[in-house]
Amino acid sequence: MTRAELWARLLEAGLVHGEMPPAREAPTPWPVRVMMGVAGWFGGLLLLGFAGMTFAMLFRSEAVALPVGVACCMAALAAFHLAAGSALLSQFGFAVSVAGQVLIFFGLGEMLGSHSSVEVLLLMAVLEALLAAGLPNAMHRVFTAAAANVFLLMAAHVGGFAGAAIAVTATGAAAIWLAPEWMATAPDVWRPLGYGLALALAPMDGSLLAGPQIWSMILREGPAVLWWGQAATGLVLCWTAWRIGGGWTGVGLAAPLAVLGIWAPGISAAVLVVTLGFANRNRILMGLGMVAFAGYLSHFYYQLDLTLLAKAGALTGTGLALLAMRWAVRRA
Amino acid sequence: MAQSQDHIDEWASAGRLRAEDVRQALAMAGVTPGPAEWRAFARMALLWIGVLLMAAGVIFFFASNWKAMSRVAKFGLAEGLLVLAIGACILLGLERTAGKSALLAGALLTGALLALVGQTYQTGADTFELFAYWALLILPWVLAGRFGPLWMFWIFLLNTAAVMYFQAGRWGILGPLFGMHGVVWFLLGINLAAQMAWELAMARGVAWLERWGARVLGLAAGGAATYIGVMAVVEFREISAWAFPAYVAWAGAVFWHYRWRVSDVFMLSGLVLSGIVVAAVFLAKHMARDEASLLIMGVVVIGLSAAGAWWIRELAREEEQ
Repeated sequence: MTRAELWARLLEAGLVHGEMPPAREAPTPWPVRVMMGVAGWFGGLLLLGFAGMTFAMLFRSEAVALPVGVACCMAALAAFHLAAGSALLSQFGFAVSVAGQVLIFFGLGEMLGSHSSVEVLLLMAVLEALLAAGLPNAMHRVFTAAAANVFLLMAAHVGGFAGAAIAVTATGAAAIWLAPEWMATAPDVWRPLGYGLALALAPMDGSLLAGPQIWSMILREGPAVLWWGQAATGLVLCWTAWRIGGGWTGVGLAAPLAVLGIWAPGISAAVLVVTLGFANRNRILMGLGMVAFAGYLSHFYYQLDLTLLAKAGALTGTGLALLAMRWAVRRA
Repeated sequence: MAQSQDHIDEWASAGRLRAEDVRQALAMAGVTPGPAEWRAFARMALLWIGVLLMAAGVIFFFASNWKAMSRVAKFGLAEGLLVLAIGACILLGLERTAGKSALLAGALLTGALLALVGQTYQTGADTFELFAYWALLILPWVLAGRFGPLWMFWIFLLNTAAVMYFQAGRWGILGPLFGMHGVVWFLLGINLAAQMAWELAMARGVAWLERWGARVLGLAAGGAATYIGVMAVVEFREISAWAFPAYVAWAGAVFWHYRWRVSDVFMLSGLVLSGIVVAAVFLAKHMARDEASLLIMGVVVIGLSAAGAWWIRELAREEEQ
């Protein structure tokens, strides 16, 4: 459907009025944004290295690191506001913001005595959330939204309530991607935040890279079992199935996966992301979910909480249940 | 459909479409899936997830090496399930999604059977041989299947076999030829060849191949090529005197194909990122290790990424016009 045809259809239905507005410039393609985001991170770390070597006191004192870090973030805000289509200025802003965030993290850790304390990690989660909300750059929002959730998970892990963070991220991702009004009225805000939460959910609920035990290994404390967070993701999956119009039938179809997800971390998260992707006709999300699913399945093999035989039973049983439900759905 | 979504976003954010009307607008534009599409999605999801979980469950079962089951029973079960999967594929037909899923299950269960053979008879075979024979045995099915994801799985087996081969240290003649980085050359070769074949087939009108496959293979080949480019800069003697020419040739080929033959912003963005990485490593290698160098490298990285983004956006604009 062309732009003009869509406008005509909406006009006929009384949803819009008057002349069709002139087309604005097409948004930057997402692969370009990802490339800029990765390069921005890289550039930020190099600038930070330069600042650290030039001003050695930056990393010796929180009294210097903190205000300089905040100043960097403010400079990034200014750069993004002035960018207006300038890739160079927005890249510079991205790099300076990354450097500022690292300095603030360093400064907070020095001030409060440890970089892995609950207080520092929570403060960083709040900072990242504020940056995600306030700095007007799509890729920056994706990274800071993801970082906010990862810091929240680390804080929850150290504090002994890891499941809560996963529940927050899963709920947030579903709430955003199932709210087309938010997406449409402020797409430059909500869409990147949605991507950030979906990206964060992958390593949080399980183990896109290394297994749920990775958090215990990195932080050297906190419980390894995040089961009630995974249960929460399963509940969010069921809620999503109900919300998209599936009703109790949808909940019934999602339930076996939600249950399996308690023992096989990440399965429900992956299916949740795929479902949210389909609800929005978003191939990026669907692809992320599929890759995550394959990753979780392979990491499930190495998990030590259950024997291979028990895992085999859980997988085969769930698979059979799903195929049986498919047969029932086809008949219905 | 993505464009319809963009138009609706644009009109809603400009206040020309009320927030409470957005859902209806998306439904009218066909962006929001309707009940029939959701039912189709549910059927598809239940089928693929069910098949993958069952196949994984069988693989896990045989890997557990359950002593209570006799050797005959295990082989009977593995072979029986394999026959069941391929039988279901034949019965359902390859035109149907259920048939394709049965074929994929059969391909996965072949690996389980091979693992059982290795586990039972202790042949002393290396792990790479499992993956190599697995790829060889399922090739006829992959050819007959005409199914992109199955081809992707087959190429994954080849990659895994290559990595395991070099990990086993059984290099033979390949050792002197490729050195300790030989595995990267192999990965580049496998994935680049697969990418070229995929692109050629798409150009010839093979309808069941999609762009995502070429992009995944391009990503894998690009990763290997970037590694070779980095090693060429850092220490070419460790990898090969041909490393830098090979990297330049790869970059030139990607640029030529995805700029002039097939417009693909994804590939060009990957190429730009690869170039930035190699350029940054080049600067790091040849500049003094001081703070000025870090500043220059930072500025170069930011500048190159901005220039690359501007160039690709101009290309995209040109394409649109």
